[in-house]
Amino acid sequence: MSEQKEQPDLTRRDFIRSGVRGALLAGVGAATGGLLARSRSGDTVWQIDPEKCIACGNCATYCVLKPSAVKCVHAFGLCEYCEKCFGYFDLDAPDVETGAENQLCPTGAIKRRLVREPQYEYKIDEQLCIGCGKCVAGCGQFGMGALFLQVRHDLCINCNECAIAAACPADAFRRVPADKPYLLKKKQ
Amino acid sequence: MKKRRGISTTGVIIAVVITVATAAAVVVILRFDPTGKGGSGLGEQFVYDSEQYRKTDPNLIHYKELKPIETGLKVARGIAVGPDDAVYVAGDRKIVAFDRDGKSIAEIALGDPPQCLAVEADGTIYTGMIDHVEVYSKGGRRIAKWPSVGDDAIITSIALSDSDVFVADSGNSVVLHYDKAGRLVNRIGQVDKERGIPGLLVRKPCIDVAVENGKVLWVTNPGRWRVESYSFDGAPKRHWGRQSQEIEGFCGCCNPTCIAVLPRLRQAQSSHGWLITGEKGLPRVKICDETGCLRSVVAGPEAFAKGTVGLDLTVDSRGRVLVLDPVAKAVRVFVKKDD
Amino acid sequence: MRRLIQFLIVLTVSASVAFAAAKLPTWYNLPETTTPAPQSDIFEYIDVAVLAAAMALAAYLALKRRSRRGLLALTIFSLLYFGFWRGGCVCPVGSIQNVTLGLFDSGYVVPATVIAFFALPLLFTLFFGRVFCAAVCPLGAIQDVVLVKPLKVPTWLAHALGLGPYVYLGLAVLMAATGSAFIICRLDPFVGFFRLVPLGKWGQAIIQDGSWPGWDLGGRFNLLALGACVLLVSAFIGRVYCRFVCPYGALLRIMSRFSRWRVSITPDECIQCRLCEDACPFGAINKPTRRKNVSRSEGKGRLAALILLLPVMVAVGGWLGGRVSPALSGRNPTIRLAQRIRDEDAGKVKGTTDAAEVFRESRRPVVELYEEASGIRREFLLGGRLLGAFIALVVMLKMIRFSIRRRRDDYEADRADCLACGRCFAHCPREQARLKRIREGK
Repeated sequence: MSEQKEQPDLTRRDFIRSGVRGALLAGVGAATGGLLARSRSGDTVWQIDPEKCIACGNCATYCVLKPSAVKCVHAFGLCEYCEKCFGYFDLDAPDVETGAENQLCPTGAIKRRLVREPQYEYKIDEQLCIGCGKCVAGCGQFGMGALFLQVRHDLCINCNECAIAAACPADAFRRVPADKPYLLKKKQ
Repeated sequence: MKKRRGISTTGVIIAVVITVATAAAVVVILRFDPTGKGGSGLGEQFVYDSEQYRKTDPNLIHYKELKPIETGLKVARGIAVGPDDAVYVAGDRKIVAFDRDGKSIAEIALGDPPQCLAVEADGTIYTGMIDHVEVYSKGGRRIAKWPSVGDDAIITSIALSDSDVFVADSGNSVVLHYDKAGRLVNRIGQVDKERGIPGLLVRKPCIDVAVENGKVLWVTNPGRWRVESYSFDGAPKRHWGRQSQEIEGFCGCCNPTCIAVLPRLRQAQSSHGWLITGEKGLPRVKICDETGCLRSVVAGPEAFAKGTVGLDLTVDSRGRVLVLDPVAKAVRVFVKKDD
Repeated sequence: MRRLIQFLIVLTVSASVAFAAAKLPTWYNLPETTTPAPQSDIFEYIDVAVLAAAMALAAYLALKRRSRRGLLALTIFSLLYFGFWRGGCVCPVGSIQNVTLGLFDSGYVVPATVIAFFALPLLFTLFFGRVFCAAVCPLGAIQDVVLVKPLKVPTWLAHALGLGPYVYLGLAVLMAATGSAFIICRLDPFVGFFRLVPLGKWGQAIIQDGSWPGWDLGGRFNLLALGACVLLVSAFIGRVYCRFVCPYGALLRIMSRFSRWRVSITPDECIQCRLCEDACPFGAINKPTRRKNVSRSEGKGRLAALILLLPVMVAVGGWLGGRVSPALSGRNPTIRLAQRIRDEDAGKVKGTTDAAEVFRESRRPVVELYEEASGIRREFLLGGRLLGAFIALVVMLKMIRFSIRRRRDDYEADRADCLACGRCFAHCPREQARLKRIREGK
């Protein structure tokens, strides 16, 4: 009973199967084709818009890396090389003594160097910086806003969804083209 | 699935492991905080806290705020008081005027974005564009356009006396002294060791000028956290001010950013003027006497949005302090509490 | 602790005025802000090429060579390359979300490599079965290599848990389509391990400056803990994530059901020796149906009832989905913010949050925020209903499938469940005979 009955049944099933396969193929093709037409050849990477950043500190702790791939960077062209730098000295620091107790940075990541009295150059030691943004807040509130946070792409592993972006209260993270991976502050 | 009769130890262990691991996984998932709800979790030493300076001792605040005047501008830059205590505000590409009750009375369209303005007793308006000054009649007709001060110029303030016009050029850290016809008479505030002038120091363009009693020029020197007075020939007279986050000092890297001279009726019989000063960073408006001693707080940081920069202020004949708030885009009106 | 919001407005206020920088001595060279470049795109194209090559090899090993050993070697390679070398990101599982967001948000551009990562395994599965799962997916690989003592999950439980991937897929699509979150990435249990031993980062550093950057113990604790739990379970319940969680697996199951070729336990014919019966650690081997079973009419009645019930259940599912949508929408940042502002204004909560503070400083009208939020809520309502209907449909189709009696004469790998790992091959005496023939050079 089986042989004759099975044969056409099997072919019918195969036929349906091929039909559905064709349909699925067309579906996947249509969806990806449509997206491919719109896609860019280059990749995108995560970056912080310094105009939106509020230096809340989440960058230091929400990154999947530790220390975070977000570091403080310095727009030297914006900096006034102040002797009393609000990104370098604690708000309550009596004056401009460079003792550790007067420094704002909890990890001592800002290095200060005399250029010419009373101008000082400030540089970030990224090995020490954890991206907490404390100096960014200080410089932003009382200084020129020359210190700001950026995702450092030598460190960032470019997660599909950036964990910091999801936790950012200021919506400051966005994807930028990989060939222009930084949103630097410039002289206005 | 077939079950063995006897309970095997391995089976039990595996069952326990699987149960515990599953439970732990569920706990971990529930503990996830991907949305930043829990905050950064950083310790105190990682957090910048200037809150303590954003609260003002209420006993120091001798002013109360009245209803503000909405300017309707997108960018509000400068404020001045004209005849009959009319309030003039420069911003966008126009000057808007309000009567003493805040009713709009005039609007003058400008070709360039104005940075500041000053109004004569007869209603003539001097407005500073970025690099030049324009003069308008009371009716809004342009009377004169003075030549450009230079490419580096950033004009941030204008003050008038009977026959002089003082123009603060923050780009070149100097106050330009003109006559009413627009002829440059003198440059005030430049470094001069012999006369003991350290020079104006600015980081953000914010030099403000004011004339006291038709005789003395007051200039802010924000980079040195002080105000300086000069005679009209450029000779330095007095200066006061020091850097401090405390209410007595000028905060941040450069302050004050604006000044006005309090009319005489407010003061005891003193030979020198009291000044109203405005700061950024910790936005606050204060009144200090001729020695720089704090006499009153008009408005503390709590009265302004955080990060407010670019206040301008003036005072009318009734002693009302008018503060142009660039964030609210409104003229905030403060009067003495006992009035 | 309140933190300070600065400069949002300020910059727009002072933007029109240019200002000369500090007057520095002429000998001083103004340093440039350094901008280390991201990894070159070229690596991502290499990844796509490796993905395609690995799947082709897996298909060859599973279908043609029938080599479990080869598949195992490929599994280990994939674990090292896609897992530890590239850090497990972007993976096809996560790419579901990129593709979804790309389809729903015309402003979101999906990189070509991500589209390739999404589409290639689907296409391969459509032709060769789940060869991607077999030996290419790093998530599958890490579970596969820790499988020490496979337990059999009772069939009813396996079927019930088997709904997990569809629910997860539906949720992930809903969250991605509304632009709320990429939940698959958030809950990826293994990416923490991959980052713990970042071979790629080490390799690059060693090539570039001969230094070894050291252990990156960062990977967040929660993620590692979750991964440890899942690995622990998958030591006993083979590939627990793949079978009961993986949303991409749900797609691959559909593809695999209609695949052109597929893995067969026996190289030629089934002799019903039953030796392979317990060979599959994933419960993917179907036994032959017993001849003498229930009467056809009874089965037919049940089938008819189920088919009639289908629209009703789908409607009920849709209604239920609509009911739970408000809870789901809480994950959306805009809705969260709107809720927070509403609560703060109503005095229901004390203090403020950074996000609320930023919103207030922006002076954006509250009404506008509420409107945006209610727009998203409507999307969630629609999405929730579709999700509910989808889940109900999956459940009903599963039940319909059970009630359709299909005759099976041989031991077969289940079309959807089979992960093409090749573990069953060695259990088949026909396979042993084939290997013997090969060894003898015949």
